[in-house]
Amino acid sequence: MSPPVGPPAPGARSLRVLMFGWEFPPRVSGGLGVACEGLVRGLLDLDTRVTLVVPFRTSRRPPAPGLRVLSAPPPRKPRAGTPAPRIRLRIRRVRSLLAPYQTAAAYAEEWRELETPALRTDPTPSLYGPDLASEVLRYSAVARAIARRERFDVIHAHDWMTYLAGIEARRVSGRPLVLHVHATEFDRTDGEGNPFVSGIERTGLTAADRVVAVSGYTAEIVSRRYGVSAERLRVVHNAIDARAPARVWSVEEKEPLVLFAGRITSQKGPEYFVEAAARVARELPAVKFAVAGSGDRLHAMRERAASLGLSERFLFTGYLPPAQLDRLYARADLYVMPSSSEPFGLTALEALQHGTPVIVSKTAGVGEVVRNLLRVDFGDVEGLASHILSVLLYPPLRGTLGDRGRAEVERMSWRESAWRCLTVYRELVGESDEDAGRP
Amino acid sequence: MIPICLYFQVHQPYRLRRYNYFDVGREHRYFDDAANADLLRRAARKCYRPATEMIGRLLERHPGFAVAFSLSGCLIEQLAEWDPETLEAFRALASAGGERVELLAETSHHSLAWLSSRDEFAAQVDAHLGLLREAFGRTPRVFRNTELIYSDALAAWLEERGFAGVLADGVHALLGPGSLSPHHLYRAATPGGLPLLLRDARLSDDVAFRFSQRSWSEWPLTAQKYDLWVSGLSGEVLSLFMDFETFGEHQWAETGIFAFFEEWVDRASAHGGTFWTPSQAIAHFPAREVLSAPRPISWADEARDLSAWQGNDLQTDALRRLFALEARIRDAASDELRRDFRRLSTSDHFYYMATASMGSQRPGMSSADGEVHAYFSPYESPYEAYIAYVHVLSDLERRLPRRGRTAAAGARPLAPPMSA
Repeated sequence: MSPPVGPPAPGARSLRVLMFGWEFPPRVSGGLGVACEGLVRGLLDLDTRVTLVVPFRTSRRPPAPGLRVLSAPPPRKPRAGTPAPRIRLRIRRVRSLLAPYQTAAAYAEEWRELETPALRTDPTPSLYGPDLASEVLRYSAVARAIARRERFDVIHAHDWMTYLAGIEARRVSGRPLVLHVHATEFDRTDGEGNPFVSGIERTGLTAADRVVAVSGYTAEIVSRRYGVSAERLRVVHNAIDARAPARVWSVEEKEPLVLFAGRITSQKGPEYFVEAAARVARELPAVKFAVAGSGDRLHAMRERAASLGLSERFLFTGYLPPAQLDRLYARADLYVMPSSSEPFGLTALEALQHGTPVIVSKTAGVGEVVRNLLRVDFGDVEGLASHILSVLLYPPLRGTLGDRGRAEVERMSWRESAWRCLTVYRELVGESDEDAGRP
Repeated sequence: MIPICLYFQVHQPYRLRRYNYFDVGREHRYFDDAANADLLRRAARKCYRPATEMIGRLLERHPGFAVAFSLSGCLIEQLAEWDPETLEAFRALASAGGERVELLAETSHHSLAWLSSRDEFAAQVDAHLGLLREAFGRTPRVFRNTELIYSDALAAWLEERGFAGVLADGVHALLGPGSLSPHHLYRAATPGGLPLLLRDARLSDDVAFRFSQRSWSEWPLTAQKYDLWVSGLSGEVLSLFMDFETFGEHQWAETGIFAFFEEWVDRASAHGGTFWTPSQAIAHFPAREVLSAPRPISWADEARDLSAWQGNDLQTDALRRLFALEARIRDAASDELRRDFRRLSTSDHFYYMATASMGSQRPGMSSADGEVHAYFSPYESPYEAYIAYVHVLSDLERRLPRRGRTAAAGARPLAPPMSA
């Protein structure tokens, strides 16, 4: 059932959202920045006004151009009698070292880098907290100041690093708070995780007026681990917007290629990919495996592939910019995502957008919205290998999964996800309350 | 009130076990005996037992009541093995004689053989006739093909073989632009004009599919209302064809399906309604116009063609791969190999591979079709169904003796699993 995804009727007051989000990350692969950008674009499309607060660092890396284009009003010729176009997106950049999927260790390294005079490009390095925890706290204090200045109807914050910022904003404004769970500490780590992080998640999710999870799978974790009740919990699946297809590499003799892409952390199940690859390689002499991405398990993954005698079969590309990753999606015969716990799994949609068939583990939210894919039990190496072999050996399987999967993904849009968020806002703001927006 | 011709299809497939690439060469048992026995007994408990009892009561109560059954060979074999009492219940019904309870001919394995091989089709028709003689002492004269798949070529084949008539679905493709009524006996486009009995799709599906659908404008369907509809029909014969599992399985007992049907037969009988078997209808009425189906039709999905089993690349590839083995199966002359081959020709395997439920954009495929496919399928997706099936075929192929220089399956050669 698709909702009637359209802007509100003329005359309806457009909602103002104070969003603590993330810009499209310049280097770090992962869904958080992509999802925030998609949602913001969708909300603007639905005539919502967004003030987006994002961490950014004055460093050698310029921020991605992605969202900046949106701060300009749409080019419209003002006609007589029509009001001047409103600016619907304001971006407030907060100088900070925070980045999606950052670990305490990674933060510490960033901070140390700043301390090295040769690398220092930021005029005010002493601004930042000396560790991730204090930086998160500092960020929430800045958020409080911003919330005092801005005018908005609802607060929307994305993932744990911004939960405290959301809470502070609510404290000073009295506006309702929506927390958006793209992942929990239980997904990111095998065990209980970092108690500081799970503590913030618990505090935030307990305090929030609404909790939005990116899948039913994640909603279940949030409900079970953090006790969020069904009345406050909503599911808004991620999406993907249509794009121009990537140019396919033309390769004369095409060896079958199986692709793994993403952060190489234990959450993504890289070791199961390698073990399954070993079984596949034994059966099919020509097949190759590509691993795109980087992470703390990259080294272990490389070592294991080597010890299985697969060095010739594996191509480790390291981090790839989106355009190159697109070409790899298009070239691959199959995309595999064997994650132990995958709240959504946007890369599966990206692969399908290129008509590349997908295998995901059953512990992945994307399986709730895409039906034309294969699913395996997490950790079932033989099942995964069998499915990989099936796709490579039987062309009708590859063709049907790819064609139908692409058709399914083509019907998705971030606008629909944004519309669902808007529904959540309206539950909280109360349409009848005419004065809700006037501070 | 026009005479009513009732025919119920009774069938259960041999479903495959979970079978993957690494089972090839290692595991030669393909069918999930435990699940099949369970599902058979469940169907018996919910449908076959109470429904045969109901039909028995109606036969006793109304001298004018008659029905036809088509029992697939797969069903008869599974009942014989796992639930002989239920097989006995069907035998008890059949003991009323062919005038009251007619048995129809079909393929032994409820198969798609007609679409791929005349030889195999003929062999399966003979096998089914043999089974019916053995289990029921009957030799049917009227034929119904798997899922009412029908075409001019099929009718010609049946006529040649001396069948007295054939059943088909009263689809638009057959009844023509002038929309002839399905309530007459027609002639097939064959030299002898084989009698053709057509299902009234709407009135049949009102019971078989829509009975418990609350969104249906006619819900709830009462015996009184249905009797009124039937009484108002003109023509010569009303053919109501449906799965026997309608009673208690597709429509649960709680929906009131049993009481509905029994009451309707009571009402119809009370005001002079008569029930005829297909053979009686064929013998009684002069056949009218010649109807032609150059392309196959069926009773499945909204498209009423072959798309439920041959509508996507997975399905056509799977059927092609199966019949690529046919000659070698024949040459092998092994009962066991032939048995496995035939069980794999059952239409259900291909039905599970339909992508109707998977966000199809193919015209004619509705999401309602998708729900029906998903209801019947033991698989999480059509892809899983295809994967299990082709790996089983790969193993079956490896069990076959090599055949001279002839290319094996005609398919892309598979890398032999070396880990076995």
